[in-house]
Amino acid sequence: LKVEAKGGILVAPLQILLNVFIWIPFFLVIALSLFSWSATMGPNWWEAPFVGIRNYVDILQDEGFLMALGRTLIVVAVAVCLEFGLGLFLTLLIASLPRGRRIVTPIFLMPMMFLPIVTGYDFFMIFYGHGPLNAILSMLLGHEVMVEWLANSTSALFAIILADVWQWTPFMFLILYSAYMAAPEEPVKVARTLGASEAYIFRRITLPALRDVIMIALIIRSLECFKIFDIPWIMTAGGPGAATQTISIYMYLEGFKYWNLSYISAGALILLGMIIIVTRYATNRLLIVEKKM
Amino acid sequence: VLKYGITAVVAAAAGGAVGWLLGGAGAAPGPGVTQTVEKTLTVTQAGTPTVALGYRGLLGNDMADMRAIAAVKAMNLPAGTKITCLNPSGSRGNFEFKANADDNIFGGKSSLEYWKEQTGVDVEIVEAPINEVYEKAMQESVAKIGVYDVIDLNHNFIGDVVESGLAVNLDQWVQKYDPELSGPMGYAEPLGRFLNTYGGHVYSMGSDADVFLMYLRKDYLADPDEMAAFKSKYGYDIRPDDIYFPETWDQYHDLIKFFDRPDEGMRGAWFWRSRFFAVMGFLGQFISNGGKLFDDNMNPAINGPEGQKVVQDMIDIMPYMDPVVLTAGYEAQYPDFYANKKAFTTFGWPSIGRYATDPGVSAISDAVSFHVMPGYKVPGAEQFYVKGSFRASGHTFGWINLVSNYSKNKELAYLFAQWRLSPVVGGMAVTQPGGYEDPYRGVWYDKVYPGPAPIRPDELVCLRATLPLAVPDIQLRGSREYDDILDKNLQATFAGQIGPKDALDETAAAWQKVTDKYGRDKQIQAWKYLRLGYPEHVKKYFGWT
Repeated sequence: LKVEAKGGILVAPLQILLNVFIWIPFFLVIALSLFSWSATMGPNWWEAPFVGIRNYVDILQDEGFLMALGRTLIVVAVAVCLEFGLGLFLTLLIASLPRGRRIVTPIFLMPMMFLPIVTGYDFFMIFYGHGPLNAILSMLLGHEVMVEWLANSTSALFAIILADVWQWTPFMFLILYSAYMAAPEEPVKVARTLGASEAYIFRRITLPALRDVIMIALIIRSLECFKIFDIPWIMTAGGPGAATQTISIYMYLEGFKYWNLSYISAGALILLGMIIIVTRYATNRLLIVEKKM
Repeated sequence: VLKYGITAVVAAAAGGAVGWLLGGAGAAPGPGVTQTVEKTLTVTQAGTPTVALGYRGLLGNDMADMRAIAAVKAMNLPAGTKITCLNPSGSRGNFEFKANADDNIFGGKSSLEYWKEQTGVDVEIVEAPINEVYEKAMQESVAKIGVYDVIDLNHNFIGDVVESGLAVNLDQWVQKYDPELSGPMGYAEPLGRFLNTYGGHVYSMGSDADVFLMYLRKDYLADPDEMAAFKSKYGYDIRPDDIYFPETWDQYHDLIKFFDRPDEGMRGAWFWRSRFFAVMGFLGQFISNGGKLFDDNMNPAINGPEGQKVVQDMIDIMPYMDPVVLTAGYEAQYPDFYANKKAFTTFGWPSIGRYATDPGVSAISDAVSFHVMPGYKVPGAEQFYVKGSFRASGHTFGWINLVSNYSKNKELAYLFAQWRLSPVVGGMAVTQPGGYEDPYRGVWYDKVYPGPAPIRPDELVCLRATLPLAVPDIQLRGSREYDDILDKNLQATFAGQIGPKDALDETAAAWQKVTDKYGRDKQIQAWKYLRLGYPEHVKKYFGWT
C-alpha cells in the first residue's frame, strides 16, 4: 500500500465517527425543522405533519425570537468592544512594565478560569439588593441605597455585560499580549529613532502588526459571546419580563422547557446560517489582508 | 366507598402479613377485638390506645400496601428484578425511612429494605434537581428507552406527559388493586381529582398536598398594644387565633401595611415577584377574585377586570416588601421569614411551616401562626363564601407518581407506587423530616394526626381547612408555556415595564397561540375536565358541572 492509502486507513475510523456525529444529527435537525412536532404531542417526529418551511417563516415573525436576537447582538457588540478595548489597554500596560510581568499576568488571567455559572452567581450577589454594591454606595452616599439592579431592564443588561466583560477581557488580553510580545521590535525602534510619536507608532505600526490576531480574537469572542447563557440565566433568568432574554435562553426555553423541537430546530438553523455568513465574511477579509501583505 | 374486591390469594397473603405486622408492633395483647374489615380480611386489632395501634390500626387495617406486596409476590419475578424511580432531589426521605418509633410496620428495617425483603425487588432512586425532573421525564418521552419505571413529577405537567405517551393509563390496575384513591381512605378532594386523573382516567397518584397557607408573626399579631393600635386605625379587630382571619385580601394588606417596620428590619410581607415565581402567587388570588382563566372555548379570560384588579393589588403591596423579592425566589423567602425575621408575613407551601416551627432553624418557632388564604368580596358570589369571602388557595408544583410507558415492568412499577403511597406507608412517608411531601389523604388528619406527625398541630388544622380550597395549576398540555407567558408578563409589571392591562392582554394573545398550536378542541376537552377539579364552591359559582 502506498503511504497515502495507509494514512487514509489509519484515520478512516476517526473520520467516520466524526461524520456520523456531525452529519447525521445535522440532517436530522434539518428534517425535524420541516415537521410540526413537539415532544408533548405523542407520535414520533416523522409521524407529525410535514409543514415545509412554515417553521422558518413563523420563527422569523416571532417577536420573542427577534427581540432575543437583537438583544444578544447588543450584548455582543458592547461586551466584545469593551473586552477588546480593555484587553488592548492591559496589553500595553503590562508590556510597559519594567518588571513583575510574570506575577501580574496570571492574576489578570484568573477570571477566565472561573466557570461562567460561578461568575453569574458572583455578579448576581454583587448586584443583589442586599449585596456589596448597594452597601458600598450606601457608605459613600451616607444614606441607604436600595436599588434592585437586576429588576430594571437597562441596569440588568448592563450588569450582565459587565459580568461577561470581567470574565472574558483576560481572553482578549491573553491573545493580544502574546501577539504583541511576539511582534518584531525593529520597526518600532526605527520609528522612534526617526522621531515618530508614540501615538503614531501605535496607530501605524503596532496595530497593523496585530491586525490578524485582533480579527481572530474578535471573531472567536463574538461567536462565544453570541452563545451567552450561563451568566444571564443565573443573574436574571431572562428577566425582568424578557428584558435580558438572550437568544440562547430563548432557544433553551422553547426547546427544552416547552419542547417545541421542530420550531426551535428551524431557529437553530437560521442562527447557524447567520453565524456562518458573518464568520465567512470576517475570515474572507482576513484572507484578503493576508494576500495584500 | 371500597368498591373493588381482591382475590383470595391476595387476601390470604395480606391477612397473614397483617397478623405478623400487628404482632410485631408490640401492642399489648390485652383485650382485643376481632374485626372483619371490607375486602374479606379478618384481622385482630388490639384494643389499646391509638398510638400503640400503629398506622394500620389507626387506619382501620387498611390493606392497600399489602395488596401491592401480595400482587408482586404473585408475579414470581426473577431474582435481580429492579425498578428505577426518578425523584426530585431532597425527597429521598419520603421514599426510604424507618417506621415511626411507636410503630413496627417494617420490622425495624427501612421502608425500601422491607419492600425488598417482601418482594425481592430492588428499588433504585435516581435524583434530579427539582426544576429538572420535568426535563428528564420529557427526555424519556422522546428517547423512549425505559430508563425510569416510576417518575415523581410535578402535577402541572400531567397534560404533557399523558399526551406525549409517557404516562401509562392506570385504570386497569386501580380497578384490580384498589390504591384507595377515593372512599374513606381516599385523597382529600379536590386534590384526588386533579392529582390523580387527566381527561377522566387515572394516570398518576398524588404524593403531595402543596396548597398555599398564610404565615403570620403571632408575636406581633397577638400583642395587645398592637391589636389596640390596629383597631383604632382600621376599625376592626385582629383575631390572632382565628385561622380564617384575615378574611379578605384587603384585610391582609391592612395587616401588611400596619406591621411594615423597616426601622426594625422587618418588612410587611415577603411575596414572590421574581421570574418563575411571580405566576405561582397569582393563580389562587385571581380565582379568589372570581376570575376564570379561560371561557368554555379556551379563549383566555384572564385579562378581564378580575385579573387586572389582582395584578394591581399585587403591585400596590410591593412598597411594603423588601425589593429583593423582584429577583429572589423561595430560597431567600424561607430563611428571610423564619430565620432572619425580615417579614411579618409570607405565604406558600406547607414546608414553610415545618421549617418555621423547627427551633433548629427558626428564630420564630413559637411566634408563627397559620391561616387560611384570604379571598375577595365577589359581588354575586356571597352564597359561596367560605368564612367571609370567596376563598381559593393555589396548589402549585405538588408531586405525583406516574408509571412510564417505556418501563419494562409497568405493573410492578404501579404496584410499588401503590405501596409507597398507600394510606399506611404513605401516611408515614409524609411525616418524615427527610422529605417534603405533605399529607394528601383526609383520613390522616381525621384519624392519625396529631400524633406521630412532625407538622405542628395548628399547621395541620390550617392545612386541613385549606385543602378543599385548593386550585390546580394549568394542568393542560403546554402547561409550562401557559405559565411562563403569564409569569414573564407579570414580572414585567412588577418591574414597572408595562401596566397590568397590557401584561394580561399580551398574556391572553399569547395563550391563544399556544392553544391553537396544541389543537383547540383537545385543549377545550382537557380544560373542561380540569376545571371540575376546582373547589366545589368555585365550580358552583362559575356554573361548572
